[in-house]
Amino acid sequence: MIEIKNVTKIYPLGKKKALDNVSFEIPEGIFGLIGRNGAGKTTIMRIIATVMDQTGGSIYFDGKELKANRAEFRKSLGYLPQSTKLMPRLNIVEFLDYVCIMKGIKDKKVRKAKIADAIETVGLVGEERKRLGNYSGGMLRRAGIAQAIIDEPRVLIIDEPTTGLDPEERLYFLNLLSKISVGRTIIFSTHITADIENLCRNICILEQGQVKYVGDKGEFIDSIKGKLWEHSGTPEDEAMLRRDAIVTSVAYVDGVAKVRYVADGQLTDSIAVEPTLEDAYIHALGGVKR
Amino acid sequence: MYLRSLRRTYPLLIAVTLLLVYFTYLYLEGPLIVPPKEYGFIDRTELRLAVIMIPIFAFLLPNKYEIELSLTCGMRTTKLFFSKAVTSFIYTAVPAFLFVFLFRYTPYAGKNPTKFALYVPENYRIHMVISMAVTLLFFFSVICFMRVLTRNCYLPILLGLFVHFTAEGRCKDIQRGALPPKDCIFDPFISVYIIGDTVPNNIAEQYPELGVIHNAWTYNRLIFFGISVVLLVATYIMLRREKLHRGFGD
Repeated sequence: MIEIKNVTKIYPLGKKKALDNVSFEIPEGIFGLIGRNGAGKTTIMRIIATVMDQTGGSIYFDGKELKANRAEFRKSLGYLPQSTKLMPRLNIVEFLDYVCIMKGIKDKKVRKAKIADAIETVGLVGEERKRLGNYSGGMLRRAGIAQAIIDEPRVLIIDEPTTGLDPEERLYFLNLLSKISVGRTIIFSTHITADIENLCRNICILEQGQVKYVGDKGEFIDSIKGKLWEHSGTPEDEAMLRRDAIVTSVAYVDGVAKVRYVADGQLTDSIAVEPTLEDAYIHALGGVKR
Repeated sequence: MYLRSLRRTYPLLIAVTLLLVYFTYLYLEGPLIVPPKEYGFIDRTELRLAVIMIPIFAFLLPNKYEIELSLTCGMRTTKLFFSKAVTSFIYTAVPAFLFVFLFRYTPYAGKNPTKFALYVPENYRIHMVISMAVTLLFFFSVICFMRVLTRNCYLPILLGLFVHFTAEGRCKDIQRGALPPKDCIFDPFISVYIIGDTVPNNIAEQYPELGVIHNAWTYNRLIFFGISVVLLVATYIMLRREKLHRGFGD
């Protein structure tokens, strides 16, 4: 269990707070961190990963303050940063061996076994000879996961791993995360709600450095259950709904505006629809702005 | 970690040796010699080596991703940094010292002998080895310090090259008599002035400062050794704070 208590982060020369008094708890399993670009997701993840210090507040892991027990926490940590700049001249075996050495695994045989396990887990068997510089985006992410899980960490921090992946690679990656989540805490950040729709039970929504929602994903979606409507109409209807309700999506099909909106009752000729995580998320952020 | 670095970067040894051979024997037509022909030569390997090592050190030191990875793996940044830096230093220093041991006095055959050279009474080789070691250490410490301070690899290269070319220009000015000989006390490439085993009377008369300059060699090496130690300690202190990766450029 990771507890984040009143964490604030102000970057040097930064005028506003990147994180503003953020508090939430991260239980075991996959925990989704959602927010727009610049919401503070990477900042909080880097702070939890101990590569950055917070300006104020504390983080606890198993009841122990993280800053004071960094060395101990790092033994339980696997981290996949947003950047995919792995070492391009190394192949996966050399790269993982390097990571093992950095983790202090001295026994060659142990290293070899761990590397083979990790490569198999992430599905890179047969790609051992290829240099990382020649890997596709999806393969690089999997190589990143392999380094993160190589010493069987209890906590995995994965920062926006699906950005730039094609649909097939994205699905493969999400399935992989699901597979390795057993008995672990995985903190997974994204700005794509579909990524965590079927993956996470608990989520946290960050907006401009503040927590908008934290808790059960189902409850979050249910918060707009019975209040979500879909109307098919003209652009004038869309303008009216934008003014009088919180619009969660607008799509034009053959010149007809399909508008999903949240309101206590239907505002015009509409049908009630089942909310998705995206509807609830957009609603929490105040609706579609553009 | 150190062994791994040594194993992985051995091509550096070959590259540095080849570059030194090229600069020393092919590009500059043999080891340069400064004073009038009867006083033998001194090489400028230090000069060439400094130019070679500046980009090597700057580019081979760990980048931001590697530092972050090592941090989350539980490895200290100091260990990661110095495992790479020391390896680069060794692979640059080995060919350099090999060259020092291969050199021997040969008469200067050029048309423009320089006017000044530093007198070293006995065993010039020891002086050259110490000179070379301090010069290497000095550039190594400057690059490490700047790399950590600026968190960037291009600024250390620019600074290193600036120091190098300023010092080289100073060498030439002193050798050609444009600057007083005692100015060599603040020149990192002091071994350029080292000459043979004896100083004939006419040279001693021509340069009454020669006795002072001889001591200058010792002062110079002590000064640059001191600067190097201070810079390396400062680098170590900065690395211990584990903040190197912040804003670190590649």
